[in-house]
Amino acid sequence: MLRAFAPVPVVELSSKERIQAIFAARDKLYVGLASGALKVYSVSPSTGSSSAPTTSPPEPAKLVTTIDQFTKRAVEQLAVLEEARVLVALSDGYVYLYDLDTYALQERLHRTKGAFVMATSSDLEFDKPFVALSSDGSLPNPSAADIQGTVSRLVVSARKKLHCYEWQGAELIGSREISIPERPRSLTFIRPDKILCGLVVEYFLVDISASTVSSVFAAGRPVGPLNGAIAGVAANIGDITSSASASARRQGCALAALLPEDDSVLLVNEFSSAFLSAETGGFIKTKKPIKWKDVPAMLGYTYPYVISVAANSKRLEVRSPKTYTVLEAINFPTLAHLHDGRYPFVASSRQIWQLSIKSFEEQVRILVDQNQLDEAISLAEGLDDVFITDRTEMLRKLKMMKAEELYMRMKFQQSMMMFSEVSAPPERVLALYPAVIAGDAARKDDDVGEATEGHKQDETEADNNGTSDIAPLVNGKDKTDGDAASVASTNPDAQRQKDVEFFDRFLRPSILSSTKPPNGVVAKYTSSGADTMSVADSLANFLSIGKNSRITAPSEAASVSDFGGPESLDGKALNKAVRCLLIYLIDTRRKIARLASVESGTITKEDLELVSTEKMTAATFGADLGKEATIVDTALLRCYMLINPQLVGPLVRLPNHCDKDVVRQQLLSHDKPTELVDFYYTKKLHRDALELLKELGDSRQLSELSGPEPIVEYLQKLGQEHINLVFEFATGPIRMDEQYGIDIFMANTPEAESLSRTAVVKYLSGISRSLTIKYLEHLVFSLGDLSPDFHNELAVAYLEDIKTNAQLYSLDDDMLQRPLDKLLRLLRESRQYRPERILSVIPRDSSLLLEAKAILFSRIGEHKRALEIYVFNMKDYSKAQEYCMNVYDTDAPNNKTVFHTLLELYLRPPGIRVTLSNRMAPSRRSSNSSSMYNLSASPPPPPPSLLLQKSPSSSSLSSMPSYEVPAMNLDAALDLLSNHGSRVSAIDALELLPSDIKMTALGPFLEAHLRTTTASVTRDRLFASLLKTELVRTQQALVDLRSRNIVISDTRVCPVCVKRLGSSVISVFPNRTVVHYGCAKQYRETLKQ
Amino acid sequence: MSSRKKTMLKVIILGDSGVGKTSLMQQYVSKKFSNQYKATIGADFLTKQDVRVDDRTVTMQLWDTAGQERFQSLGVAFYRGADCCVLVYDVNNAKSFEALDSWRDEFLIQASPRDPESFPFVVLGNKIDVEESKRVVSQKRALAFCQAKGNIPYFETSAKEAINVDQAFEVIARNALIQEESEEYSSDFSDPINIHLDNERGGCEC
Repeated sequence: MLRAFAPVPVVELSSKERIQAIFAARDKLYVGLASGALKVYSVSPSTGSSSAPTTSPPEPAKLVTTIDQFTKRAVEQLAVLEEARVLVALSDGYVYLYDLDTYALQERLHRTKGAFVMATSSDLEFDKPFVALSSDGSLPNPSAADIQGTVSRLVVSARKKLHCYEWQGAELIGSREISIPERPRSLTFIRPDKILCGLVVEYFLVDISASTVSSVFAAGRPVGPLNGAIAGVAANIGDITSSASASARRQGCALAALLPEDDSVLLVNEFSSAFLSAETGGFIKTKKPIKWKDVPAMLGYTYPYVISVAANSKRLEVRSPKTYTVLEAINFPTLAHLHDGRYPFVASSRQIWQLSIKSFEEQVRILVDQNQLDEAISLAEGLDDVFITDRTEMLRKLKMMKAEELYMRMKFQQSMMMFSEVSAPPERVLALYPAVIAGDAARKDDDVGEATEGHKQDETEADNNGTSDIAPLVNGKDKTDGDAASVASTNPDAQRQKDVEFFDRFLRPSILSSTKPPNGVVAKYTSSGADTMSVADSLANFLSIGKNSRITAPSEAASVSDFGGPESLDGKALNKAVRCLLIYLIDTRRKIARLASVESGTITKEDLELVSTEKMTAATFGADLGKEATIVDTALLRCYMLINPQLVGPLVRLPNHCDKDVVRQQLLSHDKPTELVDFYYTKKLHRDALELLKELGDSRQLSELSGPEPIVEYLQKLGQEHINLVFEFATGPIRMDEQYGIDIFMANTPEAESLSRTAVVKYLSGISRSLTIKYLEHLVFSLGDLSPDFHNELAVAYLEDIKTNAQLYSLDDDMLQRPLDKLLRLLRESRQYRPERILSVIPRDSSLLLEAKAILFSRIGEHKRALEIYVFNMKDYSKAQEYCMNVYDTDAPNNKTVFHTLLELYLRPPGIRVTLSNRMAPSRRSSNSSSMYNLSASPPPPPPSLLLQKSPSSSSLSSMPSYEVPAMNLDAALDLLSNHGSRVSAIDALELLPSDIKMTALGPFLEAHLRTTTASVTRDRLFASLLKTELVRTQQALVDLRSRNIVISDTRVCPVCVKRLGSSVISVFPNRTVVHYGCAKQYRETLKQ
Repeated sequence: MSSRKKTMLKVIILGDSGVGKTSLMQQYVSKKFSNQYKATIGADFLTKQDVRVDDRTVTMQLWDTAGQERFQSLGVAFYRGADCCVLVYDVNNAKSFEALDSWRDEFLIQASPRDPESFPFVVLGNKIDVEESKRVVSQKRALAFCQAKGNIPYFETSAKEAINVDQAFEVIARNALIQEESEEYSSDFSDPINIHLDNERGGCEC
């Protein structure tokens, strides 16, 4: 049972005196006696104090003054209009006004003859309904300005009329009368200017400003229970002797109370009740009527409770603001008076009790202590924030405790929904589960349990007082044997620790002023017995109020004690509990992810608030969001492992925070290596993944991950940032099959293309030349890489290949021919390589590479050397000619003379220049030389080539070196001259030709040369004549144009605007029309038409 | 079970931002299309009444979701009880296609269906009305993906031109109905009274 109110007896009168009316205002208590005397007491307000958790000792009210002849007859009702400084008394069928300070009679309101009941109100009460109750319980004094503008009202019911008086500030500003069909028995203000009149069986709503009266029932919405009760009410009225509260004077009639929380009015008539909306005056059908055990005789409202006195007048009932169940019942001797509102008092005919309200924190705590979590939650939910420090957080804790209780009762789903609702920290939720799910969260509690084992017996007493919702569990445990207790001890320990936290945080700021981190509290429990006791003791002392009044619902106790702790869950129950845990985990995972994206800046706080109804911060879950995320995700993994392993895949593939070690252990033990690899990939733990794959790939066991393919597939997903890993793990598969290398490095994927090409080339060249060549070809030909290095590398690689293969294969073997062709293709097509560098690598005397060399020389502009190779080494004159034709370019000085160079080579071979005079005879060597690959020496005797030194006899192509000196090649020279004579200067050619040459031999050359020259002369002449003609024509046209003119006279007008042209800017058209320049456009258009 | 029973099917539509989830839904339910882009905030749903699936009449509740991360806030309740999940991508946007796998995984985690393998998904490649040269995800690639994920039905749609939309949703409805019926026997979370728990310790009464 809640103890929200502590009745403190404040006044006790002598047996002769009889209390007829009470009214409390601020620190004064006004008591009207049957004798007509008034007693004024001063009382200390003790409402809603949060700073004083323990009840202050009863303080009797001090009698301030007694006025014996206050009224002639008994004082029937009292009221104070604070702002108007008026004390109002109803006596002898009249209403009297007294000065509030001197208690001197000011006026008897004559018109109120037959006054029966009255009610007062002031705007202030409605403006600031309850904020006024500050933490120290005192009412802040309204400022003078407030009072000046405040309208206070007094409504008196006399016969079938309502007399309404209004004060503005201290000034009576008016009165009016409103007729009503019946005499009201109770009056309740529901708005500053609206009053609800309770008749015998009816209620009327009176709007004072508008002077309208309307029946509540006549609105056409009768309420069942009230209607049924109407018939029997009338008889009850007569036997009631005392007046009730400020508003209702007669018991048993229609009662009403305004409930400001939801702005409704509670109507009570006999056993029946209904709720009326104060706003609209209509019934609220959604609120269930209160079930009364006894007919309420007096009704009132003291924030946040509905209070009532039963008809037998001996019990005050306090009802919860949401559920209206009886939270507290206080027994009194016969009660006759109830004063509600801010200063609740009750009185019998001789005694007055002040109802001192305990702090709401304490009230909540008492409810918790009594295992009435639902009521505690409902109370905390109903309260305004100003009454409880950090109400939201308190509510959250309460709900977590409730959720734990639900869990203990195996209501897993509700429990998890509630945890989810309040965004409970994952550790706390997981502590409820066995280690198979909770993992570390459960183990940690085991440790605590073992450590505190020694103190357990000592603490049992404290437990009984100190624990709240799990108290029955602890009790049940103590009755069982020790083994069971030690098994189950983990949970209560964890539980208690949290409760200590809870109480520390909310209820004992003075004892443990600094907020201790949870670990600190655990440490207190584990480190030393003395410490443990001190915390537990103080807690026990503190909580001792609730010790005797503990009420435990028997059914709950039974079901709770059935639950033997997390480890006892198994089979279906565990499965179900875990399935329900998913609700919480998934929701929490989502929330943490949202918070994390706020922290990382992906989304803004506004976005978060825009779409989430939950108010949460990182601190809601625990200080370290990352850690909480790990706990949640790891638990989720364990859950899936247990009940739905198929979902593990999706979990590990998504961004997650699962604990690496747990995942490994779980997935390997459940034979899910693929998922583990996926997990490593998601978490970028590539080395772990690859090592695992390697291990699995190497193992004899046949599985889905056997062989090198999985590694290759994995490597394909890695980009530049993991290039070293790629190299490290690619070697194995490549050594097995080079095709894997192609798959890894040459795949058409963004990852493969992101790899540094230089690094890959370097890596591959250490492994396999053929793979290097493939890769370089891929770069150069497929991807069109233009960096010279790769072209160089490729050329060099080809050369190497040729060098190796030349020793193994014959010339016409494909193995040799293919790289050779490729090399030539590269050298011809690519413009990127550095010819000098390639030349330096080519062995000088390699007969295989003569053409390559020629191409290279050509590239560096050494046409002479290139031609030397064709002429002397290859003796392929047609190729030499072809070469010249390709290179010849009249615009490039270096290339213009290429034919001349060739001619020179034919006629004055470099080696024989000196001996020319001695050896005039032309070479007998003909162009039909047997092999173009005949090895021959360059003019200066070369050093023996590498190729030849290694295996001079292995190559079928290398014949014995011949050091024959090249002779003049007249045939070839003449052939050249006759074909391309025009491209060689005739004078140069004749100079080069031996003087003894026959003219007939020169015939074709000279003829061709003359013909070309003549043609050129003719062409130039023709061209000159044509140009001359053109010149004449142009001059003629110029003369014509110059001769054209028009005359602008004063009278000449523009045909468009018909204004004089004057000296304006004009346009002259070919038809000699003259218009203004500005009119030209218009004229052009008319011409077009 | 009566074949005339009215059934409510819950369908969830997921996919990257701007692929046309809302448009597809609008086109199917109200035969409308708007060129204006308006990001969905949180989630929204439309109901399509009287959908005929063979001899049954069902009501489809289509849940449209925010593709943009900043507007996503779907609680567990949103996913719970879903009968079919529609994954949408834009055939002209490779990233939206690549994200399908994540959307599928995310859905499986959030909804945690009892039997993930058999849970019906449908993949829609939207915006095929855009000129062919802009298309980056080929039908072949999409089909390969659907094949690999357990033969997910695949449709190429255009919410703008109303191409294939009705056909796709017909399959969605049919698959959702099958799922709904199978779920009825193993309802997921709602298991308020578990009689077995009490019986287990009771033992034989005699």
